[in-house]
Amino acid sequence: MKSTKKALRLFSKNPFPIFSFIILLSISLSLMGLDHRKGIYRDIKEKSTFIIPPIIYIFNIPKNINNSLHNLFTSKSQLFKKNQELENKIIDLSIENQKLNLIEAENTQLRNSIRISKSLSIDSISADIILPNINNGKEIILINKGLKDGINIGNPVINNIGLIGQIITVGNNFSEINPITSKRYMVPAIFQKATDNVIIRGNGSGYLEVSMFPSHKEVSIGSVLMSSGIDNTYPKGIKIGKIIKITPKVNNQFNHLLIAPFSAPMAHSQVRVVIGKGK
Amino acid sequence: MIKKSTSRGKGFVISGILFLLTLFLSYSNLPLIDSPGLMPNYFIALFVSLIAFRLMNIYILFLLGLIVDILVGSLLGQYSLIFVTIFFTNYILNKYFLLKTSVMIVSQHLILTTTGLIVFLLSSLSYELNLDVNLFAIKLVITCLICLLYQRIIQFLDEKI
Repeated sequence: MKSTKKALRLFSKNPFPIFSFIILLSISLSLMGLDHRKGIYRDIKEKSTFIIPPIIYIFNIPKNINNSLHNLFTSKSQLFKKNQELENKIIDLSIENQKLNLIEAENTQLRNSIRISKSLSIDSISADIILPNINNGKEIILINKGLKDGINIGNPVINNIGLIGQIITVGNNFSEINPITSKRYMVPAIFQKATDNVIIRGNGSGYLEVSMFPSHKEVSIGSVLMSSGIDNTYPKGIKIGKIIKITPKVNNQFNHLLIAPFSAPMAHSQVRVVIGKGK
Repeated sequence: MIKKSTSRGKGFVISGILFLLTLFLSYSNLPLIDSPGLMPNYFIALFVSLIAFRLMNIYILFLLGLIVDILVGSLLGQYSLIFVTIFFTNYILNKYFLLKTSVMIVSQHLILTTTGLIVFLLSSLSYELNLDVNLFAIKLVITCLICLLYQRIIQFLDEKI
């Protein structure tokens, strides 16, 4: 009997690894299940913060040197032009700000008169982006603020242009941001005209999308989407992106909306992390 | 035809060098394939080559899978599952087929890479409702090419070291 079994092993002389395979497969699946429920990976990552960021930093040194050299040799005229543009922008923004101050005062007065206490103000802290990177196919942004600065997992990250992402890992002195364009990102949103609520998700290729938007509802290219705030995580009214393509689905009952994000997280050096909803 | 006779120490050195190279590639964005959707899975490519070259046993693969999970993964146990599955698929292939010519070897790598990427896709955390088949196909092709490149590097290192 034994010899027959041996004869069946045609070209391989190694013992059949089915037992090891089943054991290791079970361990892997159990680990995945445990990690999904208990967040073991997150704990390990938080405790190994002194290993991974330096590795990422070392491996990106050539790219960073290249970027620094490029910035260093940017011509004076370009900087002068940029400076002028920024000065003009400041003037425009200060005019805009004056109008907003008036609107805010009117808004407060109206809120007081109809006794609405909810305020849209938010507490946030500023952080520098250490490394915008694509790590093994996942977009990750590292910033230089962490637990010590009051950042927690789940905090939204914004900049002056719009929503950037959400904190997914926090170390003592650094945090990892999951950008809005990542496949593992979702945010509740509302159209700027406050018509419909939708859930937007990243498509992993630099854009966002709404997979199934009812085709009987009116939507147009260029419509702006902003955070709706119904999840109590994101502040209401943060700009997310605008619709650039509408594709009918096969059964024509739904449309697929492709959204271009306002902020390109990989192109900025500073962000603001929302750590509270304010007063 | 590939010669598959490597001593344990030599195999360890080759695997170590390639592991560091892969870590470097995973953390740095090469031009043209720096889009997250298109970026090949370097670790699957590396381990397909190592498994096809029979440089590792299933237990070491499992442990290395856990290390890869901690370094670049997003779910503990995911890469261990992938590597163990690739190992088993390779074992089955070698049990029933005699892989001698280059075409057979390329087919073997293609089957193993596809298995790895499918397990990766099934076990990944994402909110995707529909799979972008074209993007997946491009990723598979690029990963397979990287895998063949690794195979050449392993052969080269095997002769030189």
